[in-house]
Amino acid sequence: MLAPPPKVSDKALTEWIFMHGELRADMIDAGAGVSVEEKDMFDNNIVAGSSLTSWSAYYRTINYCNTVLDYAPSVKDSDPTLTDAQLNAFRSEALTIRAMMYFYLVKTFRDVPLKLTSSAKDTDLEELAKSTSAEVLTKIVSDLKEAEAIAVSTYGSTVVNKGRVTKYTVNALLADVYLWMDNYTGCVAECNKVINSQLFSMQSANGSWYTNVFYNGSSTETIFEFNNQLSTGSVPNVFYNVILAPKKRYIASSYLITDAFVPDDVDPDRIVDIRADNFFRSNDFTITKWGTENPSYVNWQVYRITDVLLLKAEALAMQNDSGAEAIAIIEDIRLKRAAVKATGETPDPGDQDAIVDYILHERSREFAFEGKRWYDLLRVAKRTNYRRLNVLTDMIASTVSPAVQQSAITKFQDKNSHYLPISEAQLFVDPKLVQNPFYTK
Amino acid sequence: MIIMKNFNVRNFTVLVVICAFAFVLVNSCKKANYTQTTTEDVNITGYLEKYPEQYSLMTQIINRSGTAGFLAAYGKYTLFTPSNDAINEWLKAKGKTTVDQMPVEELKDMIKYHLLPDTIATSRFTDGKLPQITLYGQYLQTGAKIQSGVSSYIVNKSAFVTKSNVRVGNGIIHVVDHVLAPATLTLAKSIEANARYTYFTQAFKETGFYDSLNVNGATVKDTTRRFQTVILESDSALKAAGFSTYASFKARYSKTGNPQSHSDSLWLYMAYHISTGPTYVPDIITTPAIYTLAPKEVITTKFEGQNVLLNEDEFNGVVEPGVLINRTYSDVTASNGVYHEVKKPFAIKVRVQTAVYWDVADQADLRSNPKWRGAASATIPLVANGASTLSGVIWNDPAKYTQAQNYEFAAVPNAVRKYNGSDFFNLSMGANILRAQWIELRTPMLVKGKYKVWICYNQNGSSVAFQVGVDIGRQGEQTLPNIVDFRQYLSSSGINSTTAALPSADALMLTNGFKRYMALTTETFGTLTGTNVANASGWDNQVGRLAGTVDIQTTDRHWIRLTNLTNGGSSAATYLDMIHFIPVDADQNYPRFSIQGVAFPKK
Repeated sequence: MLAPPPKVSDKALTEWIFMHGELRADMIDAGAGVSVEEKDMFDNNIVAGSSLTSWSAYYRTINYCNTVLDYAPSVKDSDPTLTDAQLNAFRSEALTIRAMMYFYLVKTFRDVPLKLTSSAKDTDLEELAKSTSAEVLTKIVSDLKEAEAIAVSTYGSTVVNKGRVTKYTVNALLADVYLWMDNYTGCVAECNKVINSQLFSMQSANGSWYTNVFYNGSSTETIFEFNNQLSTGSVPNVFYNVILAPKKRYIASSYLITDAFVPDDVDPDRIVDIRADNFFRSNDFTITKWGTENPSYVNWQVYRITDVLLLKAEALAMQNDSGAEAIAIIEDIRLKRAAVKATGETPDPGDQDAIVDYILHERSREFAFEGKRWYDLLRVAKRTNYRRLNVLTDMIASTVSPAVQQSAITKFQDKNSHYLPISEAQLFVDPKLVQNPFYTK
Repeated sequence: MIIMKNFNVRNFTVLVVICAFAFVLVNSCKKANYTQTTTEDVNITGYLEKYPEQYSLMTQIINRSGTAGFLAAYGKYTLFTPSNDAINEWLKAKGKTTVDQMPVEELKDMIKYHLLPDTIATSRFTDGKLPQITLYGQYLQTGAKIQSGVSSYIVNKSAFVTKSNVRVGNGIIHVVDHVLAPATLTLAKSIEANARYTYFTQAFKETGFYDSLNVNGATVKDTTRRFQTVILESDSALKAAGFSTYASFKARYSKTGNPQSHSDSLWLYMAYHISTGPTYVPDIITTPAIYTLAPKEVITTKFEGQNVLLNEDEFNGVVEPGVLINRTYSDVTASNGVYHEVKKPFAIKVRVQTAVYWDVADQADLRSNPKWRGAASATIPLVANGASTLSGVIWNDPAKYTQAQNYEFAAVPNAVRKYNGSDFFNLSMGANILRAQWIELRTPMLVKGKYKVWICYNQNGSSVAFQVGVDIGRQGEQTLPNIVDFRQYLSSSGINSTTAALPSADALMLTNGFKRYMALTTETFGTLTGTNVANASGWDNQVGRLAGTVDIQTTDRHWIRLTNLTNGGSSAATYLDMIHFIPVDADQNYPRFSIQGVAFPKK
């Protein structure tokens, strides 16, 4: 997962999650090492031939999961010490990771082939047609429900609890999935399971906050992370060449200083949002969240408690009469992060759109460069039959090159354009796949 | 037995021998299939022939026009091919039923207009013209349009792209749902045919521009005039501006009685709306100024949000509202150019030459940064990731710089180094490529005329000396005579700490090309008092140095360059604060400036 297998030349899964979640949004910009294809994606100028539309890394991981699910039960035949509980725990991890991969695929490509059996030998390969996003989401939900019932609550070690799937990973992912499906009561229920476990809490906003939560990782804030620490025998994260090397591909965008982390207007030296300077260097816009060393061992954060809290706040905001509760959640997070007054907002508890906007802004601060921004914007834009499409068109008006701005805005009015095309290579090997209609013309 | 084709009869004996061997060694050689081509990809014609139900008519056109030869051969082309339905519709409009009835020449032109000598995928489409011209000699224009929830690329505002980026052996094919028709009318005829522009048509005729806009671009000897760009004002916009009839419009501008005279204001007005070259809206956005046919007059451009504004200028601190380009009626292609429409009339602005006291740290890109003149001391890099962070500053080779180039703001000013607005550029200039060899800054709007140029800096012994130039490498390039040496104190003018307090000091400094540019503690403006001492310690750190006189030819924003002349140079040792452009006949000494960024006039 964290690196392509030997002899496979592909980017690591984490890099794809980062790129697909950030490239089309407004929080990163092109650095000196950016490629033409990446620049085109920044400009919302995407063609099916682009190498950035590969989904191999996700499906490779899905295949690992399928292999476990297919063959794990037969291990009992040769190893009588494997208990049912142990076997189920392994199965719950595979089901959850597979669901997580399909969730990324649905959010990125919308309709994708649903492959639920392993491809362990050549005869296992099959040409699959696409399933609709609704079908895939239904499968994700049923898999996660199954996983929740058999998942463990603890592995007996903090680091392992964060780096492997627990019940709470399942709940957090399911909350995210429910919110994507606009199932607000389901989302709140899943969030409450995580919050009420009392196992996760925000750390205080002191000088060691970044070190605890990101640099060392596995803190009380983290629900699930991809572990990159040397001490666990893992591989370093992939981000040195992406965001740190002299010819880095991406830098933080000016949105970070003009909107996300505005300095305090009274005493900007002492009153600071603890997230700002820990996430990027404001003098040269280098992204420092994933470490500054080469190699860097900072863990990739998948779900933290603040994510669950803000998912809950968004679900609450979309229900009637819960606006005040949603605002209270946001304000609590801002307090713990020492957010400055200048970035505060005072939405009316009855004004759903204003509260959701506030949540989007707070999420952009909390989850900057975590591969979530594009999906957050799209989730809000597509809700209620794209009532808030302007969230995307307003964003793109400020991010793409002026010479293609009008085209980019017009393209975004076609909802098919919000999902990436199936890459030409995949269409070639699987004739049953049908290209997203936006990219055929 | 494909191999056999390669042998001829004379080698028959050889053939027999080889065959005998082949039969002995490989018995099954008969059944082998050999591929003779290096690739399975078809070329453009091959692709069209593969789908006759959609493209058979295009194949016929290609064959009849005699272009099949090169479209089937290797090369790099982009073909916009209409579908059969589109071609049938086109034939019907021409009163024909089959391709065979069309004249060969017309078909040849049709192919030429749909063909570009380069591979252009949709990722290279812009909101304006394509980067390459068609073989016909007119640009195609692209964009995107939404129709019942589905957005598509659209070519020439009329034909939707229904299938794009089909890669074939010798290029790329895009399928369009209408035949593209080249513009047949010239700019003059096209504008005349449009009922929105009767005032402008009449004015073009009377000023003589009608004829120069009515030429076939391909035959024009002056290559810069092959394409022209016209910015139009509609009749309704002119009526809204108070010109109820054409006569009243003409009377307002034409004062000489001869509108064809180049000194007549109507001629100038119309000339100000014409420029050379095919400038589509995205080109307008990306160019800072349009050079018009009115001598030395430019139209400045600005892109704000989604709006393209002309002549929106900040002048002496006052923002003059510009006019908006009406994109619905713009990017209209004619055979010899393109025209646009603006929502309100605009004319050459008659401006009086005024002094510009420019704080170089006051840049639009910096102002949008909340740290700029904020509550705390701040440093903002001017070069990051190997490139300039400001659109108004150019460096010789920023990718190589390792030494910092910064904007700095001091919340509490240094006791002996004071700056206008308490901010300045802290530069690393020098001969070593790790530092900048030159820096070029885009000035505020300068009205045409002669100016004395003053470089205002804080002295540092580790800095360097500069040659100052204006519009280097551009039209109207000028190099100024005086070397501006940032290592020099104000005392280099010959005034020392004793004589500096005398009333005669200012005049003596001026004669030697120096001046104080910061207000003294004895000077006041409103409730503010200056902060610089007349002759106590540190009195001569802040230096205004005359670089020379520049003759600005066009009212526009220009570029001023400081080029290092020395072998040395240290990092973070060059402190640039302001540049003054003062008309030669105006007071060079005042106003003076303050840490609050306020100008103190002479009392």
